[in-house]
Amino acid sequence: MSKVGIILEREFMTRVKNKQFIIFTLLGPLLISLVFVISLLLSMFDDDNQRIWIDDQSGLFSGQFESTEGITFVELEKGGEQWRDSVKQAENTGLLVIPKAFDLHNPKGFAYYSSSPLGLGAKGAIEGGIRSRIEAIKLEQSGLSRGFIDSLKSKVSVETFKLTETGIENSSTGASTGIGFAAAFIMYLFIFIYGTMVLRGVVEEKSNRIMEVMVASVRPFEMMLGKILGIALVGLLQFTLWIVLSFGIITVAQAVLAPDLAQEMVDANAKSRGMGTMDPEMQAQANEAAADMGQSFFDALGTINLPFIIGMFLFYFLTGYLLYASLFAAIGSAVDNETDTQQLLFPVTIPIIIAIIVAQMVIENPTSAVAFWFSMIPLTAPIVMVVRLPFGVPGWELALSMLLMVGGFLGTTWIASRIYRVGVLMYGKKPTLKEIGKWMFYR
Amino acid sequence: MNLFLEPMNPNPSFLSVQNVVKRYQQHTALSGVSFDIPKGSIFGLLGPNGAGKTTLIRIINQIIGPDEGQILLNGKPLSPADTRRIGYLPEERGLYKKMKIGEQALYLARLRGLSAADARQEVKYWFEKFEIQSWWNKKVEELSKGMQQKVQFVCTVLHKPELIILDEPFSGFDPINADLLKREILYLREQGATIIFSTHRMESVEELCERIALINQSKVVLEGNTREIKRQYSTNTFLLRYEGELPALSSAFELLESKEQLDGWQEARIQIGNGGANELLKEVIGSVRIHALEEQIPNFNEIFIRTVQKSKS
Repeated sequence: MSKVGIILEREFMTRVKNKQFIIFTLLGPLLISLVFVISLLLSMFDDDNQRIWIDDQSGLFSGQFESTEGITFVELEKGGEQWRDSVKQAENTGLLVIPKAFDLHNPKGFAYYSSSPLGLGAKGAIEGGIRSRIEAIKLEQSGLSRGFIDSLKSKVSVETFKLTETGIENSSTGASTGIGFAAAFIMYLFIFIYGTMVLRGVVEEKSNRIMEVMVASVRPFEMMLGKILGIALVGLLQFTLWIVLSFGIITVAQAVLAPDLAQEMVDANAKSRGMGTMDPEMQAQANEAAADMGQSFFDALGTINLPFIIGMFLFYFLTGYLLYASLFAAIGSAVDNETDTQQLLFPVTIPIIIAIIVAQMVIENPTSAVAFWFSMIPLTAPIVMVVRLPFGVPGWELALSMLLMVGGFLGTTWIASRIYRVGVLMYGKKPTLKEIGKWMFYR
Repeated sequence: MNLFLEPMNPNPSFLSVQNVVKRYQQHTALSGVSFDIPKGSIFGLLGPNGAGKTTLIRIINQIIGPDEGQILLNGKPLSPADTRRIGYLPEERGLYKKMKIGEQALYLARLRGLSAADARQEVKYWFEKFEIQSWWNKKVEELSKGMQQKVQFVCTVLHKPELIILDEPFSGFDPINADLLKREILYLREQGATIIFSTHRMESVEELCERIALINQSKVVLEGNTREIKRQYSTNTFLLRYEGELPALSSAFELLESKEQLDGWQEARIQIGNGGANELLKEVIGSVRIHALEEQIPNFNEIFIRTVQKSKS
């Protein structure tokens, strides 16, 4: 086995056998699943029906409030103070009092009495109902016909299509945004977590004073490479375990708790969207739109080439990690203990932070000049490019960016190894950036 | 005492340092350093802090490269494969805190080029020899400093290096471990290893070394056989312990100093110009009761100081 292999094996094994790694690897998917399961459970047990009695003293709101699955509206025949007392005894029940007269232009005096607080959904339904009725009254007073007003409203929605080699595909900005940003954020986290792991490893070897024993047996470059690659494998293992375990737990939880959950969630979604709109027609319309949207999202998800994106993600993760890890290693080699790293880390972390800021701009406009340039610069490309990927990137741009990426990590690895071989032997005074720069030119 | 005997046929040079120059931006660490180390000898690389010893050792270990000159091991220029033949205990030495001792020793042996199986066998042998088998599963942080030193020494020699380089080996060693270390070094030399000692505490190794090189300010200021150097620097001064009245000495002798000691004996330092100790004894033997006569042999500290002063003037 080559020396790089021996070092790689140690770096990998000591970290994988570490209790922290095992706990973190198991806890991650558990937390992800837990969030999922809790929302699942909440959606299952959140079907307590809320009853709202309506004391409509104005008489204007008859038939205005439509009961939904979650809320039942009951219009009281005869209003009166006595209802307040009965509401106090009834469970999940509230009393809405609409005053006898109110100013249409400044409607006030609507009151809700209940022993339990009013949920956001119910509040929206009540306010929406009142608002739409008032609007309708105003319309009548203005003398314009309902039909005329409806004809004024035009429903516009831009359907997005993506031009590809094979033709035109339906696409969804929503899905692309979600996937792009999630990928960028995971990339950011991974580069940071595993880059820092490399840094710590190097600093540990220096502060433990084992460095000189090591460099007498192994070339510093081999040592750096073994460490970086070993930790890369730890990262890939952890990433794979997280995905597999998360999917596993969620699938099991879903099967056990709610076999037809997906359908339920779509229904619930449609209902909550429909709630609070003015009239049945609009509500139906909204429901339709929501269903459409859900449908097209999943359609679009299908059109996004997930294996391609995952492949690209892994490429950019690997090259981006190698690029940053070698810089982190160089910094680690320059200091004696971890507290000294902060100041030197600053210039290296800035590009990562810029990249995550640019990523947000790129989501707004994935084909802008900013998007282009920052996905070419190797320091920011791993994060910015994965944001762009779901939106479609021209082949030549991708190829150029990947080429620059490979060149970039070879370049930083070379620079880092020059610094590393000098840094590992330096003890004592913390070097300045200028001094570290000079080390590159030592023979 | 055969350590001090000049070998009849000087062994061929095992390590040959030839005109090595190493410059840093601010200063020159080594300027034209040359010396030879015979096979199977113990060699002392002496000099004050900052003289360039560690730089030279790093060059021999191929951690850094020389700007000029070369180093031959057994007649051939050093190559990366030679790390297998060298064992190095650096001045800055440590171990992975969280790693088990046994695994750590295996790891370091494999990095020196042993196969996993050979490494296991050697680690076992040395752990048994040092009676530390029970530490195999302990972590370094659980060991005392003295225990760590034992492990560090084992890690230095377990790949059976032909050349063992020990940089300030006794610093931080307690007397018991220092003694153990000395015995093991002599044992390894018997097995045929060549050993380099590097230290600024010159008195600590002079009893072990057959040859030395004294480095000061990046240059070798003195090099050669320990006994010959001592003879060369001998001032022919003797210390006489006696009772009674010292007679007036002839012109062949010079009385440098004489005084009464706390224990009642008189002590005189006498430099012999002509003749030797026997002639001195003849002159004084009738007048005083002699307790002891010994030659004042200069130690390397004194030799070093005198050499440096000489090279200055």
